[in-house]
Amino acid sequence: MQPNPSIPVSFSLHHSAAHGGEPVIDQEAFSILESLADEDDPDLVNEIVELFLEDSALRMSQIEEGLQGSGADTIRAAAHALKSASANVGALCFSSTCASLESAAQGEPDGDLASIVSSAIEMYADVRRALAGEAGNDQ
Amino acid sequence: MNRKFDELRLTGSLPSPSTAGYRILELTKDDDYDHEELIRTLLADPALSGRVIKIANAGNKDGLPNVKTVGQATMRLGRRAIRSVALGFTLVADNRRGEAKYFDYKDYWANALATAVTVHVLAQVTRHVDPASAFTCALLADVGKLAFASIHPERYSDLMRDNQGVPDLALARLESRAFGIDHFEVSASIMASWGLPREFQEVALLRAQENDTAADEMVPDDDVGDDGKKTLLTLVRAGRQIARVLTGCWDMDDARWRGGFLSLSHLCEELDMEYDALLSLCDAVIPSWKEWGEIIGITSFNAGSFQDVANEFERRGLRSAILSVPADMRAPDVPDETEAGLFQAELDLPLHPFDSAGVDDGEPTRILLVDDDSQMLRLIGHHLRREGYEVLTAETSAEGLAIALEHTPQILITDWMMPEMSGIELCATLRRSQVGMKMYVILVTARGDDEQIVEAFDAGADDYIVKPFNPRILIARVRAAQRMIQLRERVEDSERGRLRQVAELGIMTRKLRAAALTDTLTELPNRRYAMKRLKQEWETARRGDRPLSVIICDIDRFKSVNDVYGHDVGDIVLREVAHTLQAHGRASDVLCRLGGEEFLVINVATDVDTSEKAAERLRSAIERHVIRHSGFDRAVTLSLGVAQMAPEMESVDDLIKASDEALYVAKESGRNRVCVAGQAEIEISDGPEEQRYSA
Repeated sequence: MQPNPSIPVSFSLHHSAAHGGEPVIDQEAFSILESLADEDDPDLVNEIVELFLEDSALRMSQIEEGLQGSGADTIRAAAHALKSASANVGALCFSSTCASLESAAQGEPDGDLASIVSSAIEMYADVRRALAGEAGNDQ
Repeated sequence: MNRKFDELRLTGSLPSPSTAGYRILELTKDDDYDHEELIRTLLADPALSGRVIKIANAGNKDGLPNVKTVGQATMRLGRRAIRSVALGFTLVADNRRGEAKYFDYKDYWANALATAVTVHVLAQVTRHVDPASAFTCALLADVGKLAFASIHPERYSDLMRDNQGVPDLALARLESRAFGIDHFEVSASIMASWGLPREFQEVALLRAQENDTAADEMVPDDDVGDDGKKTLLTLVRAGRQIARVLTGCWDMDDARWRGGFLSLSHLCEELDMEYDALLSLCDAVIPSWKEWGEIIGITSFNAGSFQDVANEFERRGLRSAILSVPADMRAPDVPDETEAGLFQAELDLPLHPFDSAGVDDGEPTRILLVDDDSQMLRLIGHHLRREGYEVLTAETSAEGLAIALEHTPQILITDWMMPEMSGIELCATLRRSQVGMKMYVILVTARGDDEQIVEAFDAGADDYIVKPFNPRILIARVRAAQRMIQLRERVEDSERGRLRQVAELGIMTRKLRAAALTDTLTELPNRRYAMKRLKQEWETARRGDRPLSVIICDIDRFKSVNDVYGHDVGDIVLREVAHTLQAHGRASDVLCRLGGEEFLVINVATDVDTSEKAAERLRSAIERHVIRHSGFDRAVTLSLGVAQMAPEMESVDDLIKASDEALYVAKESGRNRVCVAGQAEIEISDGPEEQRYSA
């Protein structure tokens, strides 16, 4: 038996075509998280999602600040943290964007930092909406 | 013939506060670390202070004088040695024999350090004693308590639990009964084994006689005559009293604290200081105590101003009470059984049952998770808890380090990339210490490339996991870690069993030794002890060109007591006589039962005239002491023979013989009297008390 998360998560939301049109939250990946919850720890899924929402907001603002001047290092560290945290809640697309952001911030040759940041920001908005369960506009 | 505490030497080391350990690890992170700060950390901790001094003195083969301060030890050992001694610290949680639950380690550390800091200031002001030596002596004066808690944790914890708040002197009696030695003696014995001067050891021992002012109204003990020793002792005693107020609750309505505060006024005379000067001196200690206290993790300071509190008390009209408060506010509440000096040989030797092996005793393996990502902490924590592990978490390396030292987890799982201190640094930092060497460290890394893996192992990691990972893999790795840990713990358990036996053996040996030298009926030292001790005192007296006298006492017509009233009454009489003799001797006198109805008093550093007076005092005390038991209802009398060591005597046998002969004369000339050996004149007066015969 799997207790349902009290935060309704939307799996029908998809990223815009510019971002590949993939689902924002991968249902399979999210169910791994759900499968963890048990009677001893029924709040696990909610807490993980809340922790992500809290922490990711902070990281995203760090990324924006990084772009405005505090440097690539700030972006790299924030992207690194976001990469695994978002994968844990099933936001696989966003997670892979964070991965490219991390390498771009490390000075990978063909990484255009600014453009990756702006698409990360757009994708992040989708992720928040999906996790908050808003029935979004399907494409 | 001091009692020894060999358990420490045989079984290991004393614990340090975990904050001191943390500081050491933080300080030694870089090669160009702050050496002075490291020394300050050592200075604040009795265990590490003792260890550096011990090592400096043990390696001293060039005939240099022994070091007696951490500063001197540092100069002799050099930076590198000091660093490795510091990193060898051990912690309470790490003690293989466990923790003494009811022993207040924090209170012990706080008081030891506060005393040392106070004594340091006192020494600077009074200028009789070197402040650095005074600091060391004060810091270590109570180290015996820590040693008990470390070597005999279960026994000492039980003793603490059953006797909470008991004053030191009463505690010492209880310790003596339980361990065959008390913490004063343990402190002195440890100081001796660390090569610290006799002067320090005597301060530790003399503190045992703090209240012992009885029975020396006649002749002052002159073995405290050394001025330095006396001053050092005065300072340590005063420092301790001030420290207790300093580290106390500073609640003026708390009777105990108020009593402690008001009795500070008694220090004025000892320190030769006006009350106001004393108060401002105490106030001067506060800032430096705050600075030092932080090293051992004291973060809340109650201390206000001594001067202000004194003014407030005066406003409340408590100034007058100041002079009527007894010097010792701590009323001893332990029944003072028939106390036979240092000799309470109780042969109840139940060995504490040995624990079953710690591996299977149901304690879950402790795992510390360090990750700046709270989501990861929550997730991994969840998996591990579900497997039955006890999980501690920290969001920064610094926090992780502090928790690691406080709780000594068996497994540490740390993220690699974290701001400020990385997981690699955390691992390397822990690995520098002996405590951290034992932890099983798993590094969590995002990139699994060869270079990083090599770097992880170089930093001392035992294993690594690449993110993102399947939780089942993590659990499998932790299980592998647990197998390693169990293997090691099994080895440690058998070691623990051995150490415990050694510790118990120490107690047993001491008790048996005491029993072999104690007379079971009167609990006085027996003939064997008497002769050993007399030989020792004989040598000391010869070397120091000091007098030595002995008194042999014999109960008059004792045989008839046994014949008429029976042996039970005879035994009571012997006990009562022993007790009365003890109550009327001086602290430095050694009273023994030679056998039958015969007792010996060794008067150390005493000439025959003084000894004769002492003998007369004993005689008259016995004569006046009525013994009532089973129909027996009268006093008995004593005949006493006094003799002094003379140049022509060859051995103690000659001295005993001389006093025996004097005793014979006392018996022959009518009993109930004192006779002195070799005195030519015969005085015969009418009164029975003033008769003298020559031997």
